[in-house]
Amino acid sequence: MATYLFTTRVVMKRFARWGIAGVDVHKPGKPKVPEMGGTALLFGTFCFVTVLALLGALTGELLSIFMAILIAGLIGVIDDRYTLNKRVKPALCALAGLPIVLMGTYPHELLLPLSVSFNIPTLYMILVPIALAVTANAINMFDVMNGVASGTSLIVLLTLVVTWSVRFVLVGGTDVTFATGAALMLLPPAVVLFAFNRYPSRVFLGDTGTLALGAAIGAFVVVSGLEFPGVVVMMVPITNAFFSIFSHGGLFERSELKSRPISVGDDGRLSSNPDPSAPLTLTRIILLLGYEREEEVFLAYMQLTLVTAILSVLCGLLIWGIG
Amino acid sequence: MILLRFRAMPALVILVANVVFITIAPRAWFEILVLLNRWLTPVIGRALTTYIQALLTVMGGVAWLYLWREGFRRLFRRLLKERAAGTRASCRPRL
Repeated sequence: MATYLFTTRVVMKRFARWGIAGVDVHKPGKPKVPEMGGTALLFGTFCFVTVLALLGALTGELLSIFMAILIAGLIGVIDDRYTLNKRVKPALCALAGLPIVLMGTYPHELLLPLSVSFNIPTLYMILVPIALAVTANAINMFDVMNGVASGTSLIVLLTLVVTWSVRFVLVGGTDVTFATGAALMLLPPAVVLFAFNRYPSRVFLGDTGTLALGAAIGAFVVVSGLEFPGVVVMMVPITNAFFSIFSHGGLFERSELKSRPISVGDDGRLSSNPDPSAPLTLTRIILLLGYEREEEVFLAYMQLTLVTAILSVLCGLLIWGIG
Repeated sequence: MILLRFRAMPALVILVANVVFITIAPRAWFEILVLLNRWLTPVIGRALTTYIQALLTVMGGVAWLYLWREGFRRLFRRLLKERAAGTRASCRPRL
């Protein structure tokens, strides 16, 4: 926790001085905020894994999750500094799944609610990189306003830990050391990043943070075998990414948008852009439902994610309780 | 009561409907595939039955994606209309 706090503070102080800052477009004065806060996640998890390795407690599962975070984070660093091609970035994010495939730390069986299961070891191997590319890019595309991506990631990770505990109580037999280690590795940075990134943001996650957080979620879901509850709890970011891509007719970079989905008034009130050519994002729908301020939109997203979190735990009960 | 006053209720309804669908659909689809297997295999053979099952599964997946997208698109269009007409309480200008 101390490492995460220290690194985030360094990012806040130094990065702004080095010109690594982004513009907060949803505030009237368009202030500049230090970017690449996700560096804290990379450095913090690196320190955590190093300590575990020195203590001889580093398992293959935890190492594969860390490697996935590291690869996605490094792709994020490159994207933050040089802006990757819109098609190259998602493809590169799939590389984050390679450590899990190569180390064989994925389950061979896909469990769905109401006693449906598929024993698909070969297909699962192909699905792992796709799953990580989806989660990483979904969180990346969900970084729409202050605290939305970090808050959602925190709720998702907490829900996954709760769902894992539900499975442990109902079924038992799974590795407690792994779950404890993963929770200790992933939750503290998510808390620290959210504390600094929440409205009004003192630091932006950048692609470094969003891709790394998304990969962390994807890797934890795959390695712990929580695929279905993971999809349910990620429903809000996945829906946002799905509509953005479909309404725009393919992948896109924010910088290439001719018409932005939302506009900001002089008084800081947000409104949905009536231009039909603007991408149909979830934020546009939320704004049309009567939300006006950035903090209101943030709260709406957190409430929606909390509902999917509850549904995710219930799905876990349907999988392991009935199955 | 809290839920009824929740302004993002229409979006929530579509999200929950989607979750309910993906929870129930695999089991229901599995049952349909078993029935298809029982009925078609003696008539057209195992290989062709598997092909038809795979085809129907892909078509079902595409139909689900279409309905999911259409649900949100219709909601969006309705909200845009209501906003233009000023008929939605939350879209009326505030004093």
